Amino acid sequence: MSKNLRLSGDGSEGVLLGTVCNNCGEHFFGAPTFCPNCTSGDLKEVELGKQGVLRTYTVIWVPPPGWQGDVPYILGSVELPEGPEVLSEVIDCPQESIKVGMKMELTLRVGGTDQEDNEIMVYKWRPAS
Amino acid sequence: MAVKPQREVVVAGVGLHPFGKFPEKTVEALTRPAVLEALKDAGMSYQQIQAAYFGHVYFNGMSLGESVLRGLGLTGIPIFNIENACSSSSTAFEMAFWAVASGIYDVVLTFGAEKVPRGPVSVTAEHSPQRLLGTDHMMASYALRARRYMEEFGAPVEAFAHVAEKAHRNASMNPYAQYQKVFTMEEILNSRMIADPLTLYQCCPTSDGASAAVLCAREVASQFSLDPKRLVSVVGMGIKTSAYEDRKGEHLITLRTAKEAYEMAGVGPEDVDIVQVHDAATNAGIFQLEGLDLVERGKGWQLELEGHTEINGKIPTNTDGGLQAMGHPLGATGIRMLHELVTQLRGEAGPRQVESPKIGIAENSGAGEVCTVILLKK
Repeated sequence: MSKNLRLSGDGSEGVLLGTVCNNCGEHFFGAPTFCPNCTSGDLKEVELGKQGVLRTYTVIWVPPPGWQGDVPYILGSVELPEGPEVLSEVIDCPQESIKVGMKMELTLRVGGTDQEDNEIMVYKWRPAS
Repeated sequence: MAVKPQREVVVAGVGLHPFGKFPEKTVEALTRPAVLEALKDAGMSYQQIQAAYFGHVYFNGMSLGESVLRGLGLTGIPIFNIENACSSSSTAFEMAFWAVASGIYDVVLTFGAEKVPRGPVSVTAEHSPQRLLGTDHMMASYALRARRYMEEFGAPVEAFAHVAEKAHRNASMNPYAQYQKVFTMEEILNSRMIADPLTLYQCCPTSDGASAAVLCAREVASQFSLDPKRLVSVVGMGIKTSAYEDRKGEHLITLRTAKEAYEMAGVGPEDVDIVQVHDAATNAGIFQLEGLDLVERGKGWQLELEGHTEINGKIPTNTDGGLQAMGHPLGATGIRMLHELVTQLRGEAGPRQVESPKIGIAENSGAGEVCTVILLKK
């Protein structure tokens, strides 16, 4: 769906793309042109880890405009081993069992359709198996 | 790097249009009464205004400030339209202040207004792919911070709800407020869930409203029919946007901004008598007290639950109802906070008057992120 996700050949698997700064060594989710930490332009694309730790979450009962998924849904912020936190929906997890500190893993789902009715894949989190 | 103004600037007058829902009124029709009230409060006419600084967010046609002020006469003055999310009018106020402090103008108008559509406020543009992620949700971002704080410091959800309970009690004494009604803790906690743990009555409403202030150089104040006893000095201010290190705590951007404002004013948090903070969601009403260094990080929730932020407490906060009960017309909120500080510092707040405050502080947050902090002194 976005520059931040690289899909495998058949589209069934994917990996989050990030950036590492060759000057200060910080990692980022996504592709900033200049380093948010030190403003260096010497950045390199990296694949980010597929597992991380849930640092905070919320259950959304009133969704924002454009949301095409179920309601309520859980949003979770997962800290990756490289440092960045990535926010997305948490699936395959009952509301009553979600806990800060849980190990989570990346998964892919169809997030909805665009204006031309094409299905758009998005990244989500689920409890690590 | 605190900067020193070249001359003293005073607030000569303030005005508001009541906050609420006014579907029959255009932005222009909402805003002019607030401007006229500020001019009347200052005992000035629009002809005496040398420049105007207008904060607003949603698009309502180009040059909205010109469109508003055209109704008061075509005097040819420069009019600046400033968009800085929810901190638009405090940003406008700061720019107006520096224009007077540096001697460009002697008397300026600064004002803010908004008509906010119903429903959750989004930050991204329509058709942004981010919307399919479900992450673009203003109250979700507050809820995520609330959960993190609860986990880290053991804060109960009741501490957040208390911010709303207090706000509504204060607003019940404020004729300008959108909700002039007292809510119990049970009503707040049992209202519809928006983004757990934030219930509907812990999220500020969508609102229409306008606010205005007239600023004047102290050295020319005697040329106008201003009552010296009602003048309030603008003594400190700061404005900051996100820095990389701010990711380590939601209070850090405010801490950096407040430090600059305190240094400029030559005062510290211990000198502050009355506080306005940006409680768009209740938990922010607590985090911002920590950001202003009024209480140690992680202890703001106890301060709130123990009643110290009440009108008769040691840190009276959001005495007019704050965003929670006063309402939050985005572009109008920053100057609304200053309106309340001025009213309180003058001793004109009636039933919600804090006892003899001398120094007031206002913190206004905006998406981006932006933070402004302004200190006023009687």
